[in-house]
Amino acid sequence: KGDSRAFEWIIRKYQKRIYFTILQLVMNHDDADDVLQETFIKAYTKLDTYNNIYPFYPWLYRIAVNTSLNHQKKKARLRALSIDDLDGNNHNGDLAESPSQLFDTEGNELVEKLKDALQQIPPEQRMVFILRVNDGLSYQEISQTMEISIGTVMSRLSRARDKLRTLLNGYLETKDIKV
Amino acid sequence: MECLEIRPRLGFYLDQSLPSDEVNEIREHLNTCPACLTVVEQMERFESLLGSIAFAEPSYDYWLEVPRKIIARIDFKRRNSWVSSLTGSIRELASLKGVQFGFIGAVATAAIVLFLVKPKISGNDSVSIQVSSTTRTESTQVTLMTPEAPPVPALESGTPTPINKELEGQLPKTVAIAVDRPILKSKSMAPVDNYEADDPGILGNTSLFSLNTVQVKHLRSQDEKSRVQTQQIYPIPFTENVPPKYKPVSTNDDDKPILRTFALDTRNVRSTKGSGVPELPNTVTNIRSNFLETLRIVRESSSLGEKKNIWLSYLGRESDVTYRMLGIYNLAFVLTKIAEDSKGLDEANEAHKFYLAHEKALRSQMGDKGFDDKLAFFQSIIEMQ
Repeated sequence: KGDSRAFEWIIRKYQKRIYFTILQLVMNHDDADDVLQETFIKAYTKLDTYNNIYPFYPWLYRIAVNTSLNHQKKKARLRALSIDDLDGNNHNGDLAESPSQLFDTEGNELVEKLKDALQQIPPEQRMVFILRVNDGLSYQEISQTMEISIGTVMSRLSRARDKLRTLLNGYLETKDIKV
Repeated sequence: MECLEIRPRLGFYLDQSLPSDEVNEIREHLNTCPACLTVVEQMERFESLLGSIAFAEPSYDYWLEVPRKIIARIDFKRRNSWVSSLTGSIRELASLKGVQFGFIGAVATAAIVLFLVKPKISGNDSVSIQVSSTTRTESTQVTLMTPEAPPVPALESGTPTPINKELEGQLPKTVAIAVDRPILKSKSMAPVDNYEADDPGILGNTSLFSLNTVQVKHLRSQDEKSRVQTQQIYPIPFTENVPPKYKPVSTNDDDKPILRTFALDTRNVRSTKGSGVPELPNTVTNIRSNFLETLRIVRESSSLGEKKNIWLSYLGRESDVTYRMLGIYNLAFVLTKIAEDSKGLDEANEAHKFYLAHEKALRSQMGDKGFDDKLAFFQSIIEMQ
């Protein structure tokens, strides 16, 4: 009914869950904060499209995932337009975030490398990978959430895994790490 | 099967999304191919490590700010949505009349927009609602008049909460119960319309600390078995309107203890008769929800210092008188614990000042003896140093 104060209750109820979902997808707090706000604003403006015979959270989750993806794609496009650093290096591929934002609980170097590698995977592949591996969504659920075909889900997942292995293989060989 | 055929399907094999005959083929291959087996093991390892990636949790204040920022943006968009329509209409009109919507037109439109639009984004709007009050025969429906929120002083972390005299004068001295059945004391079984906040028969000293569970016994007659229901009660925000059925205990007697307004939450009652307590207005439930959320976060925190800051932050933004009292009581409890644990001069001083600043509110909730004992305790620490 257009009561933004009543919507505040919804924000408070779901903000943490949605935030951490987004954070896994965008990998840093500043982007997660932007996307979180955009997600709820979009949800508010689209409330008239929400069918309340279905649970609310999956609907909101879907908005969050798509907003995250759009945000990352936009960021990648902007980055592609950025000039090189003064040292002549193009840091477009270097997406490492501040160490204070990300840490792994076991001090595991491999986890750090995994984080770096994830950020080098294209956003749409990373999204599918995280939704599948981290959130445990089925291909069908990912397909519905991201509004892509199951075939596209499988293909992006396969490419994400290949890329991840390629990025991490070099590290594993230098460290002679047995898995 | 060749490795080239197998490799693209290993991910789906891990996802268990392949038909059983393919799974068997892949398994057979993995039994004889160390390279492909290594690939599978690597994938499993990487994917299991995904759960080890942890992120620093944003601060408590962040979670308070997010809803405000979002609501402010939503309100701003709504207030200015007509401006977009206006500028759109101007463009349309200009194009219909064959006029070029050139630079001058754009400037003129911008001037109109700036003149008419005064975006007002306030982060802490007070809410005043006015609704009518009604009373029904079987169930008492309470709808509330919430007064304008009193001004809340800005707080810095670590400073005691000042309480101004105006606020003190608004502390409720009467109690009204919005229920569909009388609340009974579990011991005496006598119906209670009014009860004291520190009455151990129903609420106890920790009642204002948390949700209260009250045993409500509905007596029909001596021959009938009474049905016991466990219900939760919670304070509802300050109201000047007391339903006519419930007369105030006293309005002018300063010696009487300060009582509280409560409502029964009948949502979880197993069996109930009658229409129950109607839902309270959203603003009321929001105030209550904010308090309960704060309580939940405090309970999850293991650090007394953090609990203190959480309550300070809550008092900094909550203007409802009833819930401020709860916040003050809870903060007093934490400051007391800090002083007890540390026996430090600064901690004792801080607690002592806080107690004195909120003497009336705390005396009403702890009782005079409880309050004086605590004060004496802090004094003893201060004198020892």
